[in-house]
Amino acid sequence: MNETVLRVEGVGKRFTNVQAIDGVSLDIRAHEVVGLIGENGAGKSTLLKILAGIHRPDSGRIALRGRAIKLKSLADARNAGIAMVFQESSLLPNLSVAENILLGHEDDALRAGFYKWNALYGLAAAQLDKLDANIPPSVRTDTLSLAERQMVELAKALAIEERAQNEPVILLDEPTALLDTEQSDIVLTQIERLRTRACVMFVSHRLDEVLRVCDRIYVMANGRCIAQRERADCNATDLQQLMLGRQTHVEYGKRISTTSPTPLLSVRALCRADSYHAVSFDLHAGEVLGMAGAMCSGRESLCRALFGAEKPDSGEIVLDGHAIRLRHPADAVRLGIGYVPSDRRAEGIVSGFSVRENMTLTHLNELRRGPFIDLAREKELVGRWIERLRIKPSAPDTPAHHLSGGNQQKLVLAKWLIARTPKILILDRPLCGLDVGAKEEIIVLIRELAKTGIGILLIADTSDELIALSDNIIVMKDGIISGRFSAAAEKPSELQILERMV
Amino acid sequence: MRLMQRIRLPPAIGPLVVLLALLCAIGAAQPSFLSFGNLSVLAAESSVILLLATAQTVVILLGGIDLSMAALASLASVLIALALPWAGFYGMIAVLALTTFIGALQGYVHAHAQLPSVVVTLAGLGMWSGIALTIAHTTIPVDAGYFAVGWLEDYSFGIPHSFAFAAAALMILAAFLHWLPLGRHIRAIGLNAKAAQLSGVRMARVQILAFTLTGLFSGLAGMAMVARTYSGNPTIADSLLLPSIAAVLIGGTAMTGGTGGLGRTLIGALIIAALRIGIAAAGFDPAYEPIIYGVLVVTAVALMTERANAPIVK
Amino acid sequence: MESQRRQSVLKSAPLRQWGPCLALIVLCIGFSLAEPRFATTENLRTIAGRCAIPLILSVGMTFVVLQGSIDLSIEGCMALSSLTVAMLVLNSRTGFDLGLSGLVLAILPGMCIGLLNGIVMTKLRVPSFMTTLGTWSASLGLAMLLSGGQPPLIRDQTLRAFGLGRTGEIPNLTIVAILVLALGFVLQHYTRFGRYSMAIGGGEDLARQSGLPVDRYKVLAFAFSGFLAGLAGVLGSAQIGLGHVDIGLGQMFATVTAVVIGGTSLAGGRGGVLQSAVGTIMLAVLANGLIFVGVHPDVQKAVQGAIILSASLLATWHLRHRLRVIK
Repeated sequence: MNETVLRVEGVGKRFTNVQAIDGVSLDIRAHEVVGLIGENGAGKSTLLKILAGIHRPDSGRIALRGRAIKLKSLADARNAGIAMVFQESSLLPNLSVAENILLGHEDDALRAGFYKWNALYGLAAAQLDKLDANIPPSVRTDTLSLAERQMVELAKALAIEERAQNEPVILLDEPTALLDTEQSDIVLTQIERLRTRACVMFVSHRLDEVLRVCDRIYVMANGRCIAQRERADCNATDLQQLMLGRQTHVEYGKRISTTSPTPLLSVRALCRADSYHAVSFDLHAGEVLGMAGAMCSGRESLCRALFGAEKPDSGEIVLDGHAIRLRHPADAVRLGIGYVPSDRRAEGIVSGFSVRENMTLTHLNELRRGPFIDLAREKELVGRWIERLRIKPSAPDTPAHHLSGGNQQKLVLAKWLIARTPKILILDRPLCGLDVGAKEEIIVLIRELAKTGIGILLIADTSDELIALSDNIIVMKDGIISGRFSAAAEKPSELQILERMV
Repeated sequence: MRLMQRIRLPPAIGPLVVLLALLCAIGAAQPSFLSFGNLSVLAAESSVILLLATAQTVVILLGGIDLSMAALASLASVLIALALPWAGFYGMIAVLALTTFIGALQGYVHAHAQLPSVVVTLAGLGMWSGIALTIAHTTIPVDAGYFAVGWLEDYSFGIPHSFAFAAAALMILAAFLHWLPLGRHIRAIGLNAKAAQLSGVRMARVQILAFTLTGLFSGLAGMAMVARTYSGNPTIADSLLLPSIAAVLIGGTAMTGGTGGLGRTLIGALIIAALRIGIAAAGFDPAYEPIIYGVLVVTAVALMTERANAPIVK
Repeated sequence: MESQRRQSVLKSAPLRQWGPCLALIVLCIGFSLAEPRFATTENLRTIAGRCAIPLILSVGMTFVVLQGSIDLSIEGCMALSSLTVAMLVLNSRTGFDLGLSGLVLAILPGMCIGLLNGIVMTKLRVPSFMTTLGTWSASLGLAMLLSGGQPPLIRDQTLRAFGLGRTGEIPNLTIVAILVLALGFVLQHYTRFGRYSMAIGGGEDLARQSGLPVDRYKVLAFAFSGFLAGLAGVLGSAQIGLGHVDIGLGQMFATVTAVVIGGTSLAGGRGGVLQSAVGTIMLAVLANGLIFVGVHPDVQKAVQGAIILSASLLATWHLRHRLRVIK
């Protein structure tokens, strides 16, 4: 048993009204690779960010080699010997590889403030050599391939080795997410080798990778760390079982299918390089079609394409029997397609606008008398929908950013329903960040909407939500559809879905 | 005025108070200044800046800026001075159509090439100024056809037509912004362009329209200058760029976009005009004007910037 | 992921890098053919002399633009320093005769304006174009106050001789410009100031996250730009023999054009001092050649505007995508 390098005890973090992680305890020992797995929203990323110094925990304690530490920033963590390799590249694109690896710590290669380039390249090469990476330190970072950039990120993380007195702790957040099999293989081999000089925490949604490189695996669900396994003692199925965790309290009730036989929307062989490939499915009026998938499954990108927010490379979208081309979200709006984005605050509501102004933004043209806005009619309709959806506070001139998460979500939905009923609604994680009561309200609302004949495309984070709400489920993995389930036949178990996802 | 009631935020009161305080200060220093006749002159003085500031408000509400308006106004003055003698009223209309088209062109490039408005209008500043200087190296007096613009310099009931015209244009535009969906779209883009686009707002069209307006109003400003000076001049309006932007900003429209409005710009323009006359009345060196504009503009932006809205400031 | 697909375009760097140089050579050849008087030593010396002040300004502007900002106030800095030097050395208005120290002191106002720009921008969060628009106006106003209607005449003969004279074949001012250019090159490629400025332009949020003291380098860039503008103002005064408010008239536009045409994008993150120098020389050659061909100098401003537009279009065309927000 190796000595414990990093110990996390009872750490919790809350973001506005969501408890992202709650009472998590785990440790990372010397010379081992520890895996961290869990469903979307389980809290893995948040935990990593706390360990890397980006977020501050609300509760709990973190101890490095027995001494409690408080990390105030990324730089703090790096100074303490903890380095994180990010999901999205943290490399500065127009600097050379060497500068990125040694960013902020060029001192050894400076003389009287002037760069000694050869010295800098030498220092960087030393780091790259640890990984056997064949990357010249003098090239500009934006000329590298993704796999190469990941290697540079690894080298950058390793660079703290020389500065810290002890072996570093390396945190890897989905390092292979954007890579293909060959590139992933290279990176994974390096991660295996890291063992000799560091201890590693490895987050990934690909269970085969986790089982390949990790010595121990922690499973997180609903913000808690619920299990720990040694590599030898488990397999993929066991892990999937564990990932599903305990049932949440939400009672979803029985579903009565309201699907009509003719397809409302047909997607045929839709492709977009690096996102999704050959996606085909049908959506019927009154149907709720759930889309399951982990990170980089392509489902978010697909939904944005169906709303005109992104352009697919090839394929066809057929609405009501006519092939349509969506050049801009306004086209989708005109055709009766609505979209509720997952990031409510940044993309769903206009902060600074009132509830009324937000609600009528999309269909303002329908509320006109001649060229002018019919203010009286607007007031009446807004009042009606506030009441119907029970948006609180109920004053229509309340600034939208004063509303709670659940009420904001109702507001965003109202935007698509007011003045004109949509044919199709695309909901991207509508229950994300809501408390239990709000979730129930939205679920009831979604069911009602399906009953009125609207076709609903639903992306949800947890499989139990999907199963409860959807008539049919499509599972996507790495850009292709890896499974289809029909609830009409027999409700799929969460496990069945999960194994297609990961 | 209904316009004033539409102003939601407390900061709107500030500029009004500043204006009144200024007028009082000037009146205390020189009581004769506050006569009706003098105030009329003050109003007439501010009409060109008001015209420029009106359209600039729309662009700033979107979150952009138009640095080329003054140069385009100068170009318009030159073209109008040349056109009046042989084409009269219709010549002037043609010039206005041209400036409107130029504005639309700038908007098109900004929207479709996705170049920042600073860059596009900076380039425009150079182009229109250069063209104006090439066409007319010095002042071009208007020998004939002045009547087409002369009405601007008249007074009715003691109120200068130029000011009435500018104020009317402002109020019409304000009415449009309030009652047309376009007004909401503009503010939505200014506050959160991503959310606006995902709500079906066509940002490109709105941007093009906003710059078309600046083109039109630049032309109108040029027209007003020809009326006032009986001539056209390739650099006459150049010094008005900063005061017109200042008028928008000290009126209380935020540079980040979304908040503010035309009512505030009216107050801002009056403050600017009061400052100018105040400086002259107090006997200060006219060189203090550019210093005050510079300080005002920077202070106004600094005070109005919501820190959260602008994480990256370039 | 969008950025991946764009990498291939960025790889056409050689064309982008050598384009301006090629264009310069083509211009020179073109003008020599069109007008025999162009390629004489006399004329080339004139061009070298005309380049001096623009070259100095372009070095300062380059660092600011590399970071993604812009400095519109250089004309005001020049004016302030011009009047200051004209009142500190032997002159017709005041009793000072500070000689060399007067020269050095006179650069300070320019640098102070630059510092002010940087501080306002970083501490008060006012975008650079607005800040420098304001300080441009304010500093010009200050200069006008100092000038007071009657520009002070410089009577210091050493200074005047320096401003007008040559060392060997090369005008003195051009030598200063070359020294400044060398300094700029070293700063850009061999100091943190240069490299971090590049980083800030290429990704400011990343730079901040990585813990770089972004604000410090922004202030430094503006202070440097103001310093060089002050120097340019002083040298300009030495050349024309008086302190004048209009000493920098038109330079802001010309400098921005030179920087952009040389390949330093206004969006920041690419380009450099040498590239801007090529751009400056190109503009000087263009101006010189156009006069020979008979084109009116006022057209230059329009041409510069068109160049800024085209160069910016070319630089960022490949970054367009559907819902990109550009204001």
